[in-house]
Amino acid sequence: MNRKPNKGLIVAVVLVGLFLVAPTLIVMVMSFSSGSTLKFPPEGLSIRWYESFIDSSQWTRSVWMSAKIAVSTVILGTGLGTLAALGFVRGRYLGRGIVTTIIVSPMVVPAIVIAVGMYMVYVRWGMQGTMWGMVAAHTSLAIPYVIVNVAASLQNFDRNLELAAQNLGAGPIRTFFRVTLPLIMPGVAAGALFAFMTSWDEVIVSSFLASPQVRTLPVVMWDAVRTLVDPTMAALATMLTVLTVVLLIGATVVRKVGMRKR
Amino acid sequence: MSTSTMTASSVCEQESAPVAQSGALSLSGLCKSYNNLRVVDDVSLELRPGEFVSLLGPSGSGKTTTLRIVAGFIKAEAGVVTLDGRDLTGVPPHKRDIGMVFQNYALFPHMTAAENIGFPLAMRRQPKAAIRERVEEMLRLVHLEGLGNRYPGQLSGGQQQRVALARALSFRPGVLLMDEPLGALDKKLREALQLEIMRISRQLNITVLYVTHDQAESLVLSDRIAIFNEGRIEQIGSGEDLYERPLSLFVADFVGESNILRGVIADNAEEQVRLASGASVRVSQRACRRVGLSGGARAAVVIRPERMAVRPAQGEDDGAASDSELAADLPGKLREVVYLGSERKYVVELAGGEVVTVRVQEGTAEPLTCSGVRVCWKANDCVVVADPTLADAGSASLSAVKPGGEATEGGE
Repeated sequence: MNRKPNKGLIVAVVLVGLFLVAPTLIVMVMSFSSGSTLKFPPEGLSIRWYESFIDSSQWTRSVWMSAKIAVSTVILGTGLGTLAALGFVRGRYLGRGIVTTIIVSPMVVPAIVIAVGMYMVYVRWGMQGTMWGMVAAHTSLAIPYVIVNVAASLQNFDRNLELAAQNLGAGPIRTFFRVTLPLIMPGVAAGALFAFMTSWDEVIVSSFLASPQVRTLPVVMWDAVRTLVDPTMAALATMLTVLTVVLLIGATVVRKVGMRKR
Repeated sequence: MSTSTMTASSVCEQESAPVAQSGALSLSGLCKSYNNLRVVDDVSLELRPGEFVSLLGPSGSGKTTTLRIVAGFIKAEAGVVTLDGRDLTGVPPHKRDIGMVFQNYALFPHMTAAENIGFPLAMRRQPKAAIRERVEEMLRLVHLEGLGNRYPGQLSGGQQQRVALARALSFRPGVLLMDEPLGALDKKLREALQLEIMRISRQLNITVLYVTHDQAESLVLSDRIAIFNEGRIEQIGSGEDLYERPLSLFVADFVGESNILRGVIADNAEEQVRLASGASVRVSQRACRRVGLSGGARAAVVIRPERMAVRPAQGEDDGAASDSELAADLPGKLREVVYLGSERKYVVELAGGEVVTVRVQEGTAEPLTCSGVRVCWKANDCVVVADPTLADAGSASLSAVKPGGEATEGGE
């Protein structure tokens, strides 16, 4: 299909693209400002706000905390979500539809409702302000995304492959790790990526569950935006955007390489 | 006593010197239902070591379910599967040591051909060097030398099938199960692979249980064929047994092409089957006894198209009754002639409304052109089976009787 592109279409595409990307680009440009206020266009060019970010223990501590929580969420959420997806796709039991709806509900219930509910329960249980409490909350938010992705790849999975593995001498556990898991890996990896982003980006629930010791990056950013607005924020936002883009490109490359083998 | 046992065992050793004679598979009384529907109903079958047995039947007749019970994927409600005397009930599939080739190959797409073939050996924790050697050996056996590093997606359908076969055999299972392994391939490839499967199974002297709905395939491959119908085995025997001596109407109809004439065995003389049209067909008493039928029973006379003869009707109807060799000599109208190269197929509507097909080898007779013909066959060339058709179907065939037909209905 080598069609001549329509000029009007090109203009429309560029405009829509600009509309979507321009705010991010503006923030990126501002982050290299040498002035001390957020201003566009910036007064001069420097990387002083990146230095200020790295020098500030408040920022680096929250990055470290966010990373620990996100990685824990990925491990827990991907593991549990994959098992749950197996149960939903393979299982035949009473109330399967209801269980599915409940587990997937964090995707549709407003975050503020979940946040308030969790806060009240966590205070009672003494989990409010703890890192593992935060991990548990993020995991419950991440699981639906893992389930949706893994279930999609399980739908297309030929179960004869598992029967073949068993027939050839693999028990249930080795069948899972040698045959099923490698083949649903694209779905699991996509689920893990979503789990990471869910935890890494989460503001609302995290704000309710945070304590001075346990503050994730988005929580600190939110507070910072409300109190002082200096270009450190822009520097941070730029770094986060770059990280996200790198992750997404990485995931695409991994999937493409995986596909080529088949 | 002791001397005779000794000679017997020494003969056995001579015959099977290189391979241990194992692979005696026995299924007895297998039953399985889904939603109160019996899909496998009291299936029993004995396979001798090295024997090739096909399960042949229409789709939904329970043959694949039977195979999956043997593989251990499905639990039977009743019945026992044993392999070399070992009861497999409750043995999980991965501990059965039975190889299986699936309909769509079920090759692991994330492993190379060599890794697929080596998989069962890796599961048995064999040393890497031994696995590599055995994989090479198997690749040679299925003529895929040098393709071990390809992924299944890079192989053709026929090559994938060969990998699947090699994988199912690499761990030297006692029995090989095959579930319509050639169903997805085109005709030419299918025929080539049939010969390949035959060669390999003979070479390894392995017991094979083979599911197919293609009767030509089962005739080519099998020592014996089990005909499945509605969850039951209708008949087990060699291809010749099934074709020449079917025991039921289903088998007669399912295996090969056949002409079926329904009627009732005459009360007084068991050597006559009276057709709906009133015409009589002579059958031997032995033929009726073979299937346990006696006077008054509903019966169907089965004649293969190539065993019938057709000739122009000359003069009056009763002209041919003199030939005592003939079982019947029925008048009919020629409806269609089909030229098939080596033979000519005549479709004839008999006076009673039954339509029969006659195959005549080219060059043995002048092609017929007239519409009035007579169809005949010898008593030895037909078999009698019970006719399980329900009463209303019977009346339907009676209504097909032409108004001109003799009224022998109440003539008792």
